[in-house]
Amino acid sequence: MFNFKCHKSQVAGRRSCHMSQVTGHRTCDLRLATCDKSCDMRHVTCDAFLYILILLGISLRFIDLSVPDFATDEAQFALFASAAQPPAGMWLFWLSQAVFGQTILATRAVSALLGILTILLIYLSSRTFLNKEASLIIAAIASVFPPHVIFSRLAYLSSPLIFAWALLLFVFLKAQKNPRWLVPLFLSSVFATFVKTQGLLLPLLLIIGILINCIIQSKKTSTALLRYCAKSQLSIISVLFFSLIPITFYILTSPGILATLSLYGGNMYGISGFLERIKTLLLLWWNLTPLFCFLIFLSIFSSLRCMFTFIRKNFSEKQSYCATALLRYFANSQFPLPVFLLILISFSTGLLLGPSHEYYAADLVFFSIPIGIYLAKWPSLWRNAVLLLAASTTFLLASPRNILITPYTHYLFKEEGYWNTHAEKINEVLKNEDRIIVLGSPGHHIRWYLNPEVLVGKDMDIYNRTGTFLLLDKNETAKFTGAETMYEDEKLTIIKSQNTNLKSQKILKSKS
Amino acid sequence: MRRPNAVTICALLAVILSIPSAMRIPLMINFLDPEVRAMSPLAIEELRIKGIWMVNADLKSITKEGGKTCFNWEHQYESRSMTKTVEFITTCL
Repeated sequence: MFNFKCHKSQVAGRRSCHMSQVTGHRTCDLRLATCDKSCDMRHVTCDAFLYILILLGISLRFIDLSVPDFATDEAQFALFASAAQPPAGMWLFWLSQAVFGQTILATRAVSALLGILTILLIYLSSRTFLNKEASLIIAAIASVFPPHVIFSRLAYLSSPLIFAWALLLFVFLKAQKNPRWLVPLFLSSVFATFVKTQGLLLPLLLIIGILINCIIQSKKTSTALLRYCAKSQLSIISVLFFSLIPITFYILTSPGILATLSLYGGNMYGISGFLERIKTLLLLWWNLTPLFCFLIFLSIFSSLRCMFTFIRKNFSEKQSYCATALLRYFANSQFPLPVFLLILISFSTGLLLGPSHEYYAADLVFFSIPIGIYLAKWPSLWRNAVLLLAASTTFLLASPRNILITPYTHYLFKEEGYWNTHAEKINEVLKNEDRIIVLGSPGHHIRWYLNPEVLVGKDMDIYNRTGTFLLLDKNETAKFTGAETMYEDEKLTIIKSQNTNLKSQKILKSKS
Repeated sequence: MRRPNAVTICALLAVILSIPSAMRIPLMINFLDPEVRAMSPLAIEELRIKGIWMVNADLKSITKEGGKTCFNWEHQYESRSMTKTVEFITTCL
């Protein structure tokens, strides 16, 4: 058992203590409480600067929401039509559309709102184990964290999932101190698992993490271990275990999720081409957020240094095994187990599920906690300079289009989306059509933007078929001769055809 | 009266929240049959040939009729601007 004594900071005169999640003892970290004198003397100015950064981050989340086209995934979620994900995240989009109308703005506003609430939850969670100043620094970093700002403007499930994880983190930290939070812990865990399939990673890893800590902490017999766990952790483990039951049933009885897993398992999902994955992931992060990559690296380096110092000390003093010392470090370290797990998850989801997918980079917002802890030890002048630089890079990436478009502006926000600007004109051309066939690779956004019923022509036998065809691929026009062109622009062609020509017949025959 | 324990409440909630999924277990049991598993990609292909978006088709039941495996779908086209009436599609292979 660990029994750290509380120290009083000589400089700031404040204590920084938190309850160890396993032992239940109060642990203290002098470094976190220590604030340099200059900052303390200008406390109000320091706080005001951090609040300004938070306000900047909040406002950046509500800018240019309707500029990019709906991506295929966004349209799928907005139409409540993804068979590959559980329904809770899509419900939120549906609810907003039911209240404010079926618009892109109403749908993406959900992500923006949840993105802002995530900042609040990260702040409140940090307050349970850090002082106010360090927590404000963390909130400021989270609020200007570039990938999180970008994906708070889009209707992917990233923003709802990160919010759900942040909520679970906050409720978990509360439930460790007060059993009244057990039912909210259950509900927030169920919510996280039903927003997106990988939401179950946090409760699952929490159970495993707590069990490992239980085993490590107990040096006695197995009976004592059981008694110890039963006394301190069994309720939390049980509640988390029960919260995983509904999603387990949901996954096992959803052919869409199982089909997705079998389709992508092994190639996109997994560790195949591990080094290539690492390279792709790091390049993606670097392109999105170079300064924050640097800060992430520094904070990891700082944490590892603290960890090795602890392990070396623990190893020599108590003759314990290195692995035991490592786990003890996490039981009593600066950030509690769920924070450590969230950092692990935020790194590994991108690596294991699709390193080229930008939306996984939004999970990195949880790195704002170790970065904030690291920067809290810096002199305020240097720290504020770094924060200002970080906020500036985010502003360059996500600045309002009508004020500033820079070479660094995120590609989605550089120009108004094609469908947002052309859908009305195309629907006018198609106003007398009940049904059209789309050739090429249509995404679900087609169903969002176009009024007639859309059939996917990719696998259809279009030979001798009459009707209206929307050709997303210009090469497809070769299949139709003598057809009436109803509309044509740089992206697509719409034709009315009586039947396809002989050339297409040959193509189809050679294909078969 | 004694207040129910929080863990008991969570266990009960877990059961209640699992009921909608548990109702689909009889449908999923069909997939234990290797023949059904082998036919299911072909059944999906049949729908794709009709130009149907798979997300608009919901598998309702799987039956065996005259040595054939029949997949019964409920299809409802949905877009932002319209929700068409439900049609029932049966694919026998």
